[in-house]
Amino acid sequence: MSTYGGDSWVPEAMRRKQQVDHVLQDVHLLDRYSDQWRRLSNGRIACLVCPHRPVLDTFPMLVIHRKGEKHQAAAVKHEERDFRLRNEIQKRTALEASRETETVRSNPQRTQTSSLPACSPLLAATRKRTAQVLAMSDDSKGMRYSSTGGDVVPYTKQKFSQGTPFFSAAPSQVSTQPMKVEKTSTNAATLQSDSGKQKKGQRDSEPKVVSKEDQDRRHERERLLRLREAGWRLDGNGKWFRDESVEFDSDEEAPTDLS
Amino acid sequence: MFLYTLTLQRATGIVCATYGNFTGGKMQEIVVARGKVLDLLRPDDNGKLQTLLSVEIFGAVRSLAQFRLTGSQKDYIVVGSDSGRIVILEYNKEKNLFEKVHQETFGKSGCRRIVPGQYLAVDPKGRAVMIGACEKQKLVYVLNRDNAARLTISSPLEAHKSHTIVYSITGVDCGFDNPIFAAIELDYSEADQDSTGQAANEAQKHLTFYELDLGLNHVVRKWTEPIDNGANMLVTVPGGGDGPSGVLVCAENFVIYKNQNQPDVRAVIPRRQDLPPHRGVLIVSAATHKLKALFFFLLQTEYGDVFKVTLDYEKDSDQVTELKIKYFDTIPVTSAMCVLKSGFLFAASEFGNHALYQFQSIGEDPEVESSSLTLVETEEGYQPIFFMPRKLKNLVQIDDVESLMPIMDMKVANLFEEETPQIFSLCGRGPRSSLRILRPGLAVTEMAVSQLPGVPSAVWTVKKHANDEFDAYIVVSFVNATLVLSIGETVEEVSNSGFLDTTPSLAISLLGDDSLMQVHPSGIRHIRADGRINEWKTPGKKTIVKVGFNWMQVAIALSGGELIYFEMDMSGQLMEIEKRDMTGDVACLDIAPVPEGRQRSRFLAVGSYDSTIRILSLDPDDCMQILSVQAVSSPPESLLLLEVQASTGGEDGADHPASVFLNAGLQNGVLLRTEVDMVTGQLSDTRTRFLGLRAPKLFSALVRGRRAMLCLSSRPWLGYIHQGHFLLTPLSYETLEYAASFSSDQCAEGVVAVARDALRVFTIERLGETFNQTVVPLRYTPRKFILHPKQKSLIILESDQGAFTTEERDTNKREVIEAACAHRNGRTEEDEEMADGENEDPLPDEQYGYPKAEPNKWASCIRVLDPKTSTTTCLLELQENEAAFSLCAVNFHDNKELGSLIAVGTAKDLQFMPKKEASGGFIHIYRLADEGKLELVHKTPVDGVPTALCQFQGRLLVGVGQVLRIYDLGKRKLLRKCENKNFPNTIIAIHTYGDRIYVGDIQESFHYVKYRRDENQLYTFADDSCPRWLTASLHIDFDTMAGADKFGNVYVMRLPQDVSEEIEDDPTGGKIKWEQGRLNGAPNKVEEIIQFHVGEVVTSLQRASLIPGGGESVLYGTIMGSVGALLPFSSREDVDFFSHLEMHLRQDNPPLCGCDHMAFRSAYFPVKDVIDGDLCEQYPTLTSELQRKIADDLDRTPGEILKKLEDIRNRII
Repeated sequence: MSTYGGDSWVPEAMRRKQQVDHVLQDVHLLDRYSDQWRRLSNGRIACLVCPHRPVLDTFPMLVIHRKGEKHQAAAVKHEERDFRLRNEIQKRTALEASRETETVRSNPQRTQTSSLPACSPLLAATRKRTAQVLAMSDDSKGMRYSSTGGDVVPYTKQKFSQGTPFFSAAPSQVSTQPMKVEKTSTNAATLQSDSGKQKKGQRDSEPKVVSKEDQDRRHERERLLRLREAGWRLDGNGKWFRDESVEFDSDEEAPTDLS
Repeated sequence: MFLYTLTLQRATGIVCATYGNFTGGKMQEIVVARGKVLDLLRPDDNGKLQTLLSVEIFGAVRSLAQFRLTGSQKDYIVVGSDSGRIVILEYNKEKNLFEKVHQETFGKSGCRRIVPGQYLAVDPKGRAVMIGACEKQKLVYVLNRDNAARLTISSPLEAHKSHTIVYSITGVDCGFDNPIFAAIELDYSEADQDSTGQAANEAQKHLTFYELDLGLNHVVRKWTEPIDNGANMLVTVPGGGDGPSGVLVCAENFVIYKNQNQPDVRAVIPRRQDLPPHRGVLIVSAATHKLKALFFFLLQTEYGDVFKVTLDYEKDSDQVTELKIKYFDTIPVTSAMCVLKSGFLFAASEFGNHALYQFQSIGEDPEVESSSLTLVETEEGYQPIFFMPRKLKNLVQIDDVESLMPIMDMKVANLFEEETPQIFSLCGRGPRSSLRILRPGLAVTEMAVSQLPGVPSAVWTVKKHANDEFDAYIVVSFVNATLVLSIGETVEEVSNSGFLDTTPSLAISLLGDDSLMQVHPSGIRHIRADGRINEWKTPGKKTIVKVGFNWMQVAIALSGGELIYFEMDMSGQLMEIEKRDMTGDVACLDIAPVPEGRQRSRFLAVGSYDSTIRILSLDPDDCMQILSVQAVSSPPESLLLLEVQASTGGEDGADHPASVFLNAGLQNGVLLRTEVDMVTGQLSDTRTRFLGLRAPKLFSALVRGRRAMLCLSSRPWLGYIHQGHFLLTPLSYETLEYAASFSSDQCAEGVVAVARDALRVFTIERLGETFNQTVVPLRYTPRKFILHPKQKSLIILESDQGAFTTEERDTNKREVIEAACAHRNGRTEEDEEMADGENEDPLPDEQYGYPKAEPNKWASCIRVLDPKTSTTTCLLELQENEAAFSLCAVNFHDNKELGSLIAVGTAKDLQFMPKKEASGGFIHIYRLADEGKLELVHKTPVDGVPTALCQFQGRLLVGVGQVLRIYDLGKRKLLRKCENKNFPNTIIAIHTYGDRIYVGDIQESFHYVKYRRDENQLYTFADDSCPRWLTASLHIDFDTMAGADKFGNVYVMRLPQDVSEEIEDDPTGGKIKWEQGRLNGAPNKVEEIIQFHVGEVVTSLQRASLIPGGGESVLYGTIMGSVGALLPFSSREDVDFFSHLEMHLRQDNPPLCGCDHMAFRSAYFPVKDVIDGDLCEQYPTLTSELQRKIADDLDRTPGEILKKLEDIRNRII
């Protein structure tokens, strides 16, 4: 049984609903501007546009208030302020970004200029070791092997294709090969990203010429990781020792010490 | 993510079978249960088993029995299933379906210990049926007839006894006395109470007789007696005047006759000579053959030997005096045997192909025989009797029904570079194992191929008289000549046929009742039956370019686009009726066949080069007026109007009104299928399908007496109606140019076709099947295989438990044969001769099985097979009781010179019962040299069984028990580099992608593992929250895995996107290391996104597309030998449509055996986002009212629904 009782409650209820809807027609519009008013804890409503924050009892009252001259004037000012604020945010974000890219560009130069004088060997050794340690931890996540061969693939999250989703809308696009492997000029395969992600664009804009130093560093990093994978560990003095839980060929020799 | 599942090939294995007169005629049929499918089979006149009906029941059939009410002519089928209900079915011959006569609920659904369904026994006089559970419960239903002679069933009477395990039940034949059921039971109440285990050792099996008192309407335990503890099966002995009544108890090594108030009569089952002494002989299946004055039993042992058992008894006192067991023949081990009255034996094999045998004799010749009278008891027990299996003598195999059961592993690849990929599946067990190459399409049997003097352009067959059964001539047209061949005992060229042979032909046909017509470019030649020839010449210099005809009407198109229409008049003359100028040249023509009871067909279809198809009327009132036009994507090449006769659920199992379909083969390779309105000629409901690169040429053919369509594109296709579905299936045959249907006394329904310079005659077999097979036999049970990417060869692991290696077997065989020759124990000279024959031609192991060894003895081999030639290029038998279990191809990053290597994981001395740790395992590393030979590089011992292997970043990942290890290639062995010991049970599957590793555990689903290079550590970061007993696994994408468990579920699980990103983006990498586990497992849990209960154990999952250029689907193969696909939906609309269709079918078409569809698909986990195509495809089998009702509810027409079903099927295969 319905709360209205009787057989003909439906049209009655419909009519009532229509009436209520009619009354609240304007009120529904308010939902769109929910940032311009706030419901207070006592159930009343405050207008956030007018500077003096008038408090109104009901939604219809708020609607009428919003149509008032005073409110309209305040609304114009409010909008202007909003616009200025957005502009400012945009400007600052842009500035921040350009500063970052500058730092990145200036970085290699700085390392060059700050190359250490030959007279401080201890410092140089420390730096080298730090670089090695960093190299290992930094790029550890960044190294991948292609699934087909043993080639090492530098990996970054942005560039790594997670394969075309299996349940994509166009199943015909699903390739049998999960990853597309492509040779680049640096003789290392990169995994192609499937969709033009934003970050990819950023990557592409980077200078493509990889300096010899970078390459050396990468090779060195790769060599260290290979050794680590093979079960060699570094002690505090830069000497390699065998991990006890790892097996080696009996004639395998320890790699040259880092020191 | 919604998936549509469809069974591509129904289960082929057989669980149980029964036989009887289900159609009510003289013919006997066989009902077989293939897990969740119920099939009705019948051997046809040629001795081929035909499937009359196949119904998916969405439940598990556990037992079948057949009974007949006294005086009735027809048998009913009783089905024991997992539905908790007893169902009685009747076969309706007219509608070709099983009708549910009764369905009584007695318990919960599911295969439970104490819910009946496992055993069924019927009273031989058809008065009662007993349905039993494995434990405790037994219910008896009284069967009777009401006033209208309809079958009635009583409420159940209980015959429960708690704490008993039931091994077998059967009805005892005691004439028209109260029905009695016999059961082998074991009371475990004492054993349960006694913790010392002494009572368990002393537990004793009993044979118990239950009597149904029809007067008092209750069941009593009438008689119980201890029997051998090895007893496993009961067989009813005929009684009530036909025999002595009672039962045969089949026990280990013995068959015992037992009855109330009679002494036991016991005989020993003869043993094979090479059987080890500790092994017993058990009977696994039985069949009774009963004639008026004689009956005998065929019992089959677990080794495949069939024995004929006969009873001697005194006719007046029914006292059994002798029980004789005589060796009969040896056939592969069966799960059921059916002896038909027509002299056939249907053997439903346990594994591998089923067979139909014909009786040559009933084993009257002298043979090794054991008898109850000659039974000798010594101090060590009864003295055994030995025999040697020999070749089939009493049986001869006449048909073979292919069975894939069990599919052990399956891969899809296009190794043969054909249009569609092939499915390579490892099937079978022990000596009957095989590699089967499945190709989508119907199998074709080539009857004849003959070379022709030139390259023919067309071929026709023609009868001399409309009422003739067979064709009289094959007419072949060449560029400048026509060759006429007459069909008789042989096919030879004739010149007196009246056909003009100096010109090419455009059409040859029978016209009217008995005159022939030849259409050639310059005219029409009409050859009357009395030899008179009427010739019609083309006007001017015009030539005939296209012809359309049926047996009353002919339409020709002249060059320039003129159409002329002829009709036969009453006097048998061909009269020109009407002309019409088409705007351009005509590309093709066709006239529909004359409908039954009419004088002419109403429609002429004309295809033009401007890519339009027109329907013209042939009615005298509006002759040659255009009725409708359809524009198509490309100029049509060939047209065929195909009439589908009205059906009311007859042979093809579906209701549909008569309709005409216009089929058009377009030049771009597309086949267009449009329905033609019978009255107005309007075209509607167009369906298209791409067939191949060549424009399809369409021909009409006869398939099972119905009109079907042959489409010749880059491969031939056959369009036909099968069980209510219109199926368009490729034929596994070469490209053909032109074809015609062919009928002669050797080949009733064949096709004659021309291809290049040869004439080919073939027939199409096993309609309704999706795949055809090529079989390559293997030596032992295949376990796993890989496709070698470079050499395109298959590397297969085979291993058998309790078997001898080939060398041992050969030596043993030689010794045994020598010993047998030395002793000559009771064998006749004839047998000796046969034994001599055996020396030269040994008994094939497929038929006779391997000799048995101790259970901890293994035989195993690694095989390299070239699939193109089906030859084995290398076969390595493993020595020292090793058995191979896992393999993979691996490229080690440090060893470029060795190239691609093969890693094989083996176990040594593995024993399951009682479980014993294997004394270790090995990882063999092989190099695949040229010519496909394997060379051992080295062999590394490991401390367990390496059950999973996978390449990972240029090294080898190995799952050894609970441990996941990374190995690198050393000089003398593999070097362990890293390990993680924290996996729950046994690792059985490893997949990798990037630096992520997906590990499948035997009991606990998947674990996601990450390898950290800088730390040289493996971290498990996510796992499943459901314990799944994994049987198959498939990597889908970076975060997603699909798996199948041993309870018959398929599921897909995905790592949530945010977790995946977190793992990949972790800047320090420390999180993964220090994170706490959750729910006794990994810190993160994967989500289940797909869940579906297949109902059969899925053993392999593969991603593949079976149609060229089609979307990928997940294919699965099951233990029961079925192959299915899960296709992802591409649009939300389709999902809505199919889920509504599924919902309606669930309501309006409940499964046959009383199960609930939703409950079945959600048997272990609720079904999630999968729509059951098998249920949706039952739509055409509904009555037309029901079809219309459902279609109305879906706001569509039945035609649209059928089109949708067809479309989605065509997207898979």
